[in-house]
Amino acid sequence: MHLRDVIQPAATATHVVGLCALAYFASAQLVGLSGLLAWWAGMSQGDAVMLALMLGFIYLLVLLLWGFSCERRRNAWLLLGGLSLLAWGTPLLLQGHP
Amino acid sequence: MGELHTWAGVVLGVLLFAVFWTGSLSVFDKEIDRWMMPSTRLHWDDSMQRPSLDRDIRLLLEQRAANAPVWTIILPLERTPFLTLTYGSEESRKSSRDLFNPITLEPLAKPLTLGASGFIYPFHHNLTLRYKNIGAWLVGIAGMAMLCLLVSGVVIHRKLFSEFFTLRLHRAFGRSTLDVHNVAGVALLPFHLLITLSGLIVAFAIYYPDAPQHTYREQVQSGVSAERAFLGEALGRIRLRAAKQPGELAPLEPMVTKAEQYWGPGSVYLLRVNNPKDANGNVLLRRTSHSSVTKDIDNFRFASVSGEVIGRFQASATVNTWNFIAGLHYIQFRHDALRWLYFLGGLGGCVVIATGLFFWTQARRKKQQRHGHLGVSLLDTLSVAGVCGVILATLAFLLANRWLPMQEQLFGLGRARVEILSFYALWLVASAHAVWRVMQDPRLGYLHAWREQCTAIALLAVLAVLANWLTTGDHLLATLRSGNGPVAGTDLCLLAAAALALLAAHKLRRRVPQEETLEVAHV
Repeated sequence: MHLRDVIQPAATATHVVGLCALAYFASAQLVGLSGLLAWWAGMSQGDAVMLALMLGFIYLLVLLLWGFSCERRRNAWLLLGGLSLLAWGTPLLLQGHP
Repeated sequence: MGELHTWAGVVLGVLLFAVFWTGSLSVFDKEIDRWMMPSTRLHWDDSMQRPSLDRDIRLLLEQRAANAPVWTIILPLERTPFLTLTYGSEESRKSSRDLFNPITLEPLAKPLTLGASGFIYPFHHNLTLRYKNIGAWLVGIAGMAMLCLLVSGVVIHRKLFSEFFTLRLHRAFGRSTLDVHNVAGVALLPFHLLITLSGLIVAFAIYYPDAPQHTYREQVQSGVSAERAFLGEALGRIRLRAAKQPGELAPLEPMVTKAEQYWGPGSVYLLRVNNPKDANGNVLLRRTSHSSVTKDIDNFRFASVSGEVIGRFQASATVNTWNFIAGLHYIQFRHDALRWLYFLGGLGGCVVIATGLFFWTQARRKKQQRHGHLGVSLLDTLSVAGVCGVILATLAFLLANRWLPMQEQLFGLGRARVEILSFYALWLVASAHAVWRVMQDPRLGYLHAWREQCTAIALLAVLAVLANWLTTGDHLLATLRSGNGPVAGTDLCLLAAAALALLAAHKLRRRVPQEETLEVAHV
């Protein structure tokens, strides 16, 4: 057995688990951001969060499908990571508004 | 997309099968409860006179739980034809539960079982692994994988329309398996998308617990939990504190009459009296969801002492969208034909998942066995244990329910717990059998394992029908004649399952020599 026979499946497993976790993290941040934006757009707080929660599973599905259909693994990680960072940072930068 | 479809199915297929199987059974959980709890085999319809809340039910509550901080009254309904009273604390509202005949108000014999609604339904959504919601997370991961499988399935099956009309059951096993997978997958695609997505959305609080944090930042800063503020505003879930001063509970009937002026006659099905002997107690009334798909979460709240309305919660349009999605999944509306379609759709999901697993092993069998890889043997074992194993386990649960003596304690455990142990024990035995058969003969052992477990399913299903007859006297002809739909339906489904399992075992028996001939030809 070559070292490659061990490393390659391990790298694939790490990529799959990591990408799922990153997609979930990104979707969770997008849920928070969507709720905030919907509230600012005039919805009540409860409605805004409920709408964002229902959208969250669509976000996650789209991100997972997109992430796993990327031809280059690096691109999937970079774009999902960037999106997570953006969705996480935006509410922190903007909060304090109504 | 092809790899995503293959590996998501292979890795999570067995878990998905268990979730779809128990979900399909949960469609009829209350009917299976009637089968498992003979003392509740009663009849109720809306035209019957409800017991009096103030004269009859309150007396029962005072006798049994005068000092309980919460009383819950669940009035009889068609699918739950008995009166349910629960008494508990704010934290544990189901700590004690008694059932009564709704006409005579005689207490019913304790069921000594969790039934389908207490075990099969929770297994469907949390695998009964409640610690830190591990089970719910596993089900959620499987649900999201199912969505990925459905979408990627559409993408990789480019000839989707022609595949829908292609079913060649008499061709080679691999070909016919793929055809069944494709036809069932395409025909039921909308239902599977709907049921999977709605299943995830109803459990939002587990999967996105921090969602309200940003929006409710101001409340968080003032010391209120964001989750509590959100649940109070969106879903009307609020708790009022006790005054710690004595108070007398006002009559309950006028409260129901008041609520039904808005909701319609006979629409109240649940009353929860919080702190019944406290000056600041309150009575919460909930309405049934029988007449609409949308799950109804509206409520009326009355002051327990004055009987005045102190709150009325009506879900907003957005929350009702969620209620509609939840209603599509929970199926509490009254429509028998739709309920059967849900059941068949769920079983169709089981077929899609199982045939997907078979196809994967069939397609790789020769190549992997030539190279000595264990992947196919492992998946053969998992498929048999996951598909036949969970069906056998369910039958063991039903058989244990009918055969175990009606004693609260058995072998030092509660009877209900012994039933659950029977479920897991037979699943374990079925898994061990699959491992043994596949290890004994890596080439054809899987066929023997499938055949033997299918035969066992047929045997146990017939035994369950017999056990019901022998322990209750309600044989199939009697239940059909008396119109006892839940019990007759359960017996008929068991007999249908036995017939299908026998047919499968018969076909597998014919297949073993064919496979052996093929193996010899290849050598």
